[in-house]
Amino acid sequence: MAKFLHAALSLSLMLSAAIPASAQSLLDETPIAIGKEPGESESILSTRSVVPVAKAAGEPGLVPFEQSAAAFKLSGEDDTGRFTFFLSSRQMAAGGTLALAYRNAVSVLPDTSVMDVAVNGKPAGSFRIAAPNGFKRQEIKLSPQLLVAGRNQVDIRVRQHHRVDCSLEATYELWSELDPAKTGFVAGNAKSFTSPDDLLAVARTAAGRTDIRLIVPRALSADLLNDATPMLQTLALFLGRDDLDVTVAETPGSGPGIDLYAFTDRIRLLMPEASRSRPYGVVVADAGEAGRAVVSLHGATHADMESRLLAAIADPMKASLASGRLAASHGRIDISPSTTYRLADAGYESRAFAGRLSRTGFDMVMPSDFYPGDYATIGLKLHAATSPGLKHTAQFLVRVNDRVVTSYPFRRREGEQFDGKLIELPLRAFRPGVNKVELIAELPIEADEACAPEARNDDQPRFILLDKTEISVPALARVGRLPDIAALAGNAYPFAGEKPFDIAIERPDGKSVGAAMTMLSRLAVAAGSPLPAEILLGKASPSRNALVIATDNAFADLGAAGKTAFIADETAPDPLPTAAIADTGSANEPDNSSELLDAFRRSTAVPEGERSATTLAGEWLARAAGRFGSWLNYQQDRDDFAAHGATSDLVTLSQRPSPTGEATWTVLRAPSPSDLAAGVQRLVDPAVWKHLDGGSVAIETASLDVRALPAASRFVTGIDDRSPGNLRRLAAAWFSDNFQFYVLLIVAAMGLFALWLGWIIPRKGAQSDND
Amino acid sequence: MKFLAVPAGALGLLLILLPMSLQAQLMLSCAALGVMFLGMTRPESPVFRVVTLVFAGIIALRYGFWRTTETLPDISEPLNFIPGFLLYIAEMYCLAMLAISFFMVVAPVKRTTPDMGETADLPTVDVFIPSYNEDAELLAMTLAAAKSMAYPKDKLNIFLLDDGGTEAKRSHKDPRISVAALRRHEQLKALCAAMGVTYHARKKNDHAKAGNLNEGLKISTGDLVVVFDADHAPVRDFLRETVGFFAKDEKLFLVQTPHYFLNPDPLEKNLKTFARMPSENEMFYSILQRGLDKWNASFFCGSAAVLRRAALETTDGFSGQSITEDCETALSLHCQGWHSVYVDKPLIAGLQPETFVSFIGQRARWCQGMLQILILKRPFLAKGLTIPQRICYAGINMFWLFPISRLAFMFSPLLYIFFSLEIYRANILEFASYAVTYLISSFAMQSYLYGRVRWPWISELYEYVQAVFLFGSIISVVRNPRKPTFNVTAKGQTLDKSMLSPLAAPYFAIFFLLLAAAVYSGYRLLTEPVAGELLMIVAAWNLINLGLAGAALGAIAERRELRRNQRLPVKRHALIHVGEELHTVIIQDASSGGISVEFIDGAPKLDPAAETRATVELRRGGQAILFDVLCRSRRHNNGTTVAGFAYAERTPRTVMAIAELMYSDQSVLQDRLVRRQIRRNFFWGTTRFALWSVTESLRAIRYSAGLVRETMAKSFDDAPLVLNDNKITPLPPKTDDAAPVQPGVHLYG
Repeated sequence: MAKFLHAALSLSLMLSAAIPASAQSLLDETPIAIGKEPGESESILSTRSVVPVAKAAGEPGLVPFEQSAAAFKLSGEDDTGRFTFFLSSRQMAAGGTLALAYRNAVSVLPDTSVMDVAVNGKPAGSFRIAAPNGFKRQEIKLSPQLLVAGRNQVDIRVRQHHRVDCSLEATYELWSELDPAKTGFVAGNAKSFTSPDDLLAVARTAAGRTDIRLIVPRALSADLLNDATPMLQTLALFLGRDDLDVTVAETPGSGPGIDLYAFTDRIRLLMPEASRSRPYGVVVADAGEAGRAVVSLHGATHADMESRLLAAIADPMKASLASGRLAASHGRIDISPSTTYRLADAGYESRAFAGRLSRTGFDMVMPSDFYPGDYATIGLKLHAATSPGLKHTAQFLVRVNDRVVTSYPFRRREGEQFDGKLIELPLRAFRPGVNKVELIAELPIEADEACAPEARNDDQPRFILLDKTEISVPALARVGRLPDIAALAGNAYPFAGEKPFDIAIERPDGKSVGAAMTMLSRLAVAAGSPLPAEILLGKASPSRNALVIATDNAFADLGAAGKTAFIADETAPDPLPTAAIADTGSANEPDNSSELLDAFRRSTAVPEGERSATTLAGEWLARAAGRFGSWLNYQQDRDDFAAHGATSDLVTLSQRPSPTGEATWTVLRAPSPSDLAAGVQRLVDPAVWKHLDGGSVAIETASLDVRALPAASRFVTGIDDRSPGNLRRLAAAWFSDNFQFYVLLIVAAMGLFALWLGWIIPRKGAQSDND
Repeated sequence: MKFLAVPAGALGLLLILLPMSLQAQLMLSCAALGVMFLGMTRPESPVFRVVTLVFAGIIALRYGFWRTTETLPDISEPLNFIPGFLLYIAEMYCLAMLAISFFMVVAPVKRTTPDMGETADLPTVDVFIPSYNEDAELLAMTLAAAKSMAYPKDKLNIFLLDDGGTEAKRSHKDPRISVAALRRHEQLKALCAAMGVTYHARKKNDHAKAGNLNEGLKISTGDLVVVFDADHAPVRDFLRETVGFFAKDEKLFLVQTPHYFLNPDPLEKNLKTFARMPSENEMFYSILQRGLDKWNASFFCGSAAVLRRAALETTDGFSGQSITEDCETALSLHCQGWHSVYVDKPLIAGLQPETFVSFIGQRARWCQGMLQILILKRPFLAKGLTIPQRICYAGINMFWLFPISRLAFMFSPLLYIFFSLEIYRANILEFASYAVTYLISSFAMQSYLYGRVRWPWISELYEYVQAVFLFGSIISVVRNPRKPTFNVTAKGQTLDKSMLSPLAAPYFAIFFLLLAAAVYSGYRLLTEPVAGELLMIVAAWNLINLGLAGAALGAIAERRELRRNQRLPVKRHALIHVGEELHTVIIQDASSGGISVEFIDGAPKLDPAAETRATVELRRGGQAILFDVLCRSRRHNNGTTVAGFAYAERTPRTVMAIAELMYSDQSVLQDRLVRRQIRRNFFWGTTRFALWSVTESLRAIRYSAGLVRETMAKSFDDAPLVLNDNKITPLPPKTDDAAPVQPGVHLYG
């Protein structure tokens, strides 16, 4: 079934890719400081108390933007965001109002700072940014002429200037953000859910999540879940939202969201009373409560459900699936090896920049079996120009995953034009999955020093970055290596593709199953296609890849879990002892005594001036040696890592080979089902999910902080490309990571060769006469 | 073992050619350097030597790989790419030469002289002394020394092949030329008659030296042919050390011996290193030729060699297509499957060009001739050569492309300093991991392989000094490989005044250009906060170049040479008759003009002013050899008296005596070589060199400002050569030194 579905969806998505891009605007993935809630900010100026945001569900009739909360913050001097919302033709015809609830940093100068709004590529209005004290609602009337039936595109550009500071650093204090709950299109007429497309306007919960509730009978079975997963994944892909929260229960949910029913005739009688009468096929209806929809897929048999779902994908859902795919591709480039891309491919449009610090960001999605290393570099061929008068400290920087990887000084004070200037980005800075790339131009001029108000001209362009700037990706070393949480989060590796895998829910209580379904839908969105998953209640088969959802036995929820019908055999030995996860990190266990010693040293330190030259030299040497050591270990910019598996962790996500080594198990483990549910919610939070990295990830119970632990060692899961070129790149990458073997092997091989030469050469040619 | 080692080598090579991280590279470099230094600890072991070379090769290979794959400018920026690529080519040339040189010197051969065998079985030997414009006095010494070689008289024939007195010259339509040629013809004929050697002048001067030698082949019949340049006087044992090899190997066509020089070349003279530093050619003769010998590729160097007539006949004598007929001849014979042998013993003493102009002239001939062979003969593809011979010949010939790479290294930093062209893309970490380790290994290898005969930085200095003019020679030979003609290198010229060489101008221009670049790079470093790493590397590189250019100014600021005749410290026991007194003396040193004598049993009364006459008596084989001398000077030193005598007259008999005195003992030459062969470590050499850069550039600038004042003093002329009571006076072309100068005081402005 999954295979069929996969093929069908893939086909429709492929078709969608061929649809030409409509009028593009700027990137929406500009650097955004991640706050847990809208309103939080890292700005040093926003120390004022946060005005409590009304957490109640948004106003009725508000068609929200589809993007998740993380995208709602625009920062820097010139930033853009692209948002979409869906209108039915009826709503379009009625027109309405675009409501923008926004606020900004105190340091934003209201006199000159502007927010421009364009809808479907046409300017719709602009206004001064002047809401430092709390969210302010700005309304823009949208006539039907500006709107289209289907996905509408809103481009918001902010140009912000600092009140007092002209330094480069100060530009980081500039931000404006929208309140996702109160921002959107206020339709002239109330919405109702009648067709799949209407689902795209479903509002979010107070937590800012899109709620999907899978309604199942009390007697939960694997078959039943397997009947429901195709529909769930299709729905997730159709919505295209990355903030889905799937819960599983016997009763419908409340508030904005979707109730999902998917059952066969065999199960029908087990279903709650109200749902038994649902007709065959995919049906969308109002749930009764405003803003809540019901989606049901009813078929005679599993195969029947499958064909009905395919029918729905083929017709009513197809267009929106395609446009959703298009919207999702904005601001990101899916990388194939040995290919050259342009910035335009990420949706960037050339524009002159008038500020001090130009930031252009996009995501590069690297193949999931990409092996980062030093065997090649990604070439950035810069097409840009600088204006005369820049200070000599002006430079171009590239940040990959929040780390500066290269810089290029703008030397010519008289201005310079770059026609494909090659700047190399080390492949080691990238990782499989999503990589955040920022092109930063620091453009100070002499006048910035004084920052005299009358001399300021914030509209004088200093830099232009052209969209024909190229990114040349070399041939990549490719080998499946796990654990790799970034590849899991970015590309759903190793689950994407046609190889079926299990989702093994060890303790099939509602929360565990909900967590599993949330993970599945999030992974499907990451993969961009439905996954060939098979739900299994109980232990995973060691011969198949599996996503294992496990909870420890030792907690109070155990009793509650026991009440559910299906429960794993508690007497069976646990196939995945928790300790195994802790093991991966035990080597890096922080040593408390060294911290104590450090603190002691700090508190008893002699002031700088009183220390002797030898002490200072010794310290410098020690520091240099330390730096050299960490450089040798490829750790220059990383922090120390805390180990995982501590009891304070809410949930840990790790990957390991199955006991027989035939397959890979991705294990999501929590002390209890409720921890699991809370942990998964946090994990799939768009702000968190996008940054998942390392060999395992843990979420702390108290702070909900995400801690990533690098993989102590990785195991190979398969090499698809066995060409000599790939093997050579793999050798280069692996030997770079393990250069002791490289050095030893060369010394041994060449030593042997040299010894042989030393033996043979005196026997060849003329020989010295013995005296 | 082979089946294990060859795959291991291949695996190693595959691994070396992987694009690795800097960390891995740095560790590999350190490990390879470690193994390399370990290998250097036992220089006498061939296995250790090969290990050293292989690991130095690993580092070079890594550098070359990185340089090729990661440092070239982007082709879309032609302004950077073109000069960057040229520099890259220059570096790759150096790497190729490094590889070839490693191959050449992997196991230099040390030959021991085989016994000559029974006198009756000895082959007949013809000695050819080709001459063009050398004067009779010089030739007399050479002929005398050749005549004195230990060999059965009936089997030794000596031919003076005079190209200065050919029929064509004698009947030249310019009377100045024809008269001089006629005079020369008569004089040399008389000289040869007096010395008992054959004089021959051919009809026309076709094919220069090669043609002349081929003429010699026509008029002689000996089994072996020995060639001596006109100024190359052999030692007594020359044939004893060489002829025996021919009996051992029937396919042997050549026994080559080193060229040993009595006088300094311009660099040695002007930097005052002749007494302490190994000569430039020692690297070639005491290491490279021995290395070539290993691969049966040691080649003919034009003189001081014995050749087999039978072999020469297979190639119609000496080849004359190029202007280096010697190497070309050897190549032809190697192609025919003949063998060569190199004997690393100085067996002749000669002169080398002493002025910078003649030095450059000589090098230009070598350079053009070798490139002619490279282009016209394509030794790497020549039929009949073994693979090692091809490599060796290609290396020898390609060596002469060094001016291009040297100038590329001199000038490319300027492109970055002045124009910010990025012709070498690397950051400081990469540079440290690849280039610095490569530089360390190449300096260490230079010291390991050649340290005995070459001080640090001297190779670079010689290369640069030649490169400035040889660059043009290369261009002309590449444009027209058949054009260059043979120019006889002027030797024995001396300067009586310190002055700048007429060729000085470009060296000054380059020096000041580099100086300006050094100053400007310093300014940029101080004023540009983001100028950074690359500029630092380039500025340092330019500073090294500036040092070279500064020291090179010393080479073109020519010091005067007061000594017309080069002395050889013969340390020979003799008797001297002063009036009635007979004293036992040690002849400390001898030259073709006179001797200095240490009295060991009481000194006679000697009056330099009155030109006290004395007779020196040498003994050899029970026979007394007598010659008269005049006292010119005397001094007391720690109780011993040392007196300087000039030969009272120079008759053929005197000349034979001088030859006996100077060239009877090979060890005199050997000792003088060995005495200078002291290893100098890198830091010593660098300091020494840096000092030169400063002092010598200042000296040159002083010369250019005309701030040389030297007092002149009278000295005595050498006794004239007397033949049948007719004086032979010097021929017109020779610079007539009116007033030789004595050491004076330099006055500074």
